[in-house]
Amino acid sequence: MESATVIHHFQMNASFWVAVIIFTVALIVIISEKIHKTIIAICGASLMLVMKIVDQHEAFHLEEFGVDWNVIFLLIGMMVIINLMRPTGLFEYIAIRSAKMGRGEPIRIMIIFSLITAVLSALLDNVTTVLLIAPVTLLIADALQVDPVPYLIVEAISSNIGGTATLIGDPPNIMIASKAKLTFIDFIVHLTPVVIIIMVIFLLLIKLIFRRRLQTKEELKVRILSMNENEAIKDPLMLKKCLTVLSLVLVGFVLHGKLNYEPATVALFGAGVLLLISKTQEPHKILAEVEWPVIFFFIGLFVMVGGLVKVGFIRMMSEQMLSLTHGNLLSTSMLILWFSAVASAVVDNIPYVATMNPLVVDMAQQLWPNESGLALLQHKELMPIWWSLALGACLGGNGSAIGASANVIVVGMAEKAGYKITFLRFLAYGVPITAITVFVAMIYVWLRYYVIGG
Amino acid sequence: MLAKDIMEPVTSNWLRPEQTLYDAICTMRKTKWEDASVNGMVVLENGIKLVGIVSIKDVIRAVIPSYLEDILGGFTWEGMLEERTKKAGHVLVRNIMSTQVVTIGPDDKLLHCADLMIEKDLQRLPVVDKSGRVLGIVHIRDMYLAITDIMCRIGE
Repeated sequence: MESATVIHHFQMNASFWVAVIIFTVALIVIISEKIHKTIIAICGASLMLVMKIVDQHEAFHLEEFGVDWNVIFLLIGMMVIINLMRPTGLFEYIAIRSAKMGRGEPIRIMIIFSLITAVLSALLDNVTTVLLIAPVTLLIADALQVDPVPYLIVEAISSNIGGTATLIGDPPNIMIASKAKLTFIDFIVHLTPVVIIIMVIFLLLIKLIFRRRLQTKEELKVRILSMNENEAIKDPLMLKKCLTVLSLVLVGFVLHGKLNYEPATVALFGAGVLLLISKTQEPHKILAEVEWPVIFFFIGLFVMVGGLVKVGFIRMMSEQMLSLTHGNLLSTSMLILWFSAVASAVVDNIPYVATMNPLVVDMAQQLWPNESGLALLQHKELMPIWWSLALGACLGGNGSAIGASANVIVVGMAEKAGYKITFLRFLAYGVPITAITVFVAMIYVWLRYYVIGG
Repeated sequence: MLAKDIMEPVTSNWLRPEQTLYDAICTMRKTKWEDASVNGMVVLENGIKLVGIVSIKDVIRAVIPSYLEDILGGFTWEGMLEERTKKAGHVLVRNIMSTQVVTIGPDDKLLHCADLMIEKDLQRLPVVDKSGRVLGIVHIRDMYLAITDIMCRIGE
């Protein structure tokens, strides 16, 4: 009987089906990888407009049915900063220096690289981090004559774990933060602790698995020790400017809640200042390096999901979810955690979170119909749901070679260097690691929010 | 003069995509044309279909690791070239050949060929007939010899 009343809340009219069909077909084509996902997102979004599922004003100006510009400009701002920073050679410097700190010992280098990747991924985006660390890894592995593939996979996994820790670490977190109006500090307080625990467990596992398998000759270690990391620094002056601005931006993120700034404001201001003091004469070059396909993928998705919200599909799903868990929030957050992990391993976690975000908000509206604004979005009992969504979506990315962009990049770079990482080989690492990390996350959410907090 | 007048005819002097680079280089070094061993050959699939071309730059590129771009360029060690070269010998021709091949017809004018070589920075142009069969190859050296022959004759 419950589902019968459900259907009365909205009309399952033609536009309902049109929106659902546009979204489903788009999702299938995205998964099939027959056409580039950005093209699909743009076509899907414009179809939603053409079919008058959402009108242009809603798509462009209402967060509920359209583009979340806070996400878009936070991404663009950070991309500009990173693009200016990359040519300075800082990241290569850090990597080579730390390989030397590992004294050329393969397992020690693996652990150090895993740590650096996790920390950098928490502060930058995951793709950039692996793009920077993978070439150095291939160089070091060549020098030590060891197989680079375990290193590369470990780094992809570390970047997904590390990215989970902060608001800016991974796109799902950026989206969740914007939707739920969460601050940088909120993420540090709620997600960073569990990420640290997960990293410790992950590193212990690495040590256990690879200690015996990774061996090299003494004379090869000398190659690492004789490298001069200072050679990597190409532009010391620009490096200083970048580090200054990056620290300012990080301080800005820490304080944005207190100062009442959106994160995008902080990132855009940093990008503007760095462009100014870099004295670049070619802003078009730096702006062209912004990953526009990613940006437009987000824009398209926001509009497509907006269509689903408007026709009531999201409402229907959230009612289904609540009836499935009988309104019990502990089971809801466990369900979301595991479902997100599995879904993110199979599908891109960006469209997944874009769809889940309004669903969670809708669920909250049903649970607490008298609340609104922050009181609703950050309702004490809703918070574990947001954290479960973030943990599941980010950690689930490790599940398969296509689960996260960082994995795709690593597989591509390995192939270019002549090492094939098959889908199965990635699964052999990814599935157990995902299962363990999500399990740890589950214990954390349960203990912290339902045993201690409740 | 036309392309067919100066081209090196392709008969048995071609490479297979599934050959190793080591094999390919031995073949190239043994094959002589105009008193010197050739430093570029067409790659034919099943002896018929033109799928690529291997030349000096492709061989050198095969030795350079993909990660050694701008910033890491300086980080090499003694003996790295030798190590990389040993590895590169086992790589298959299909993985290192240039696949963007610009071809010409046997009756194309030489000046047109010269223009293509300079404009597109090409070292050699396979000569292909209308049915797609590879008849020969014009090396940049052939072009140079053709031009210098004319110059010297005028000088005399």
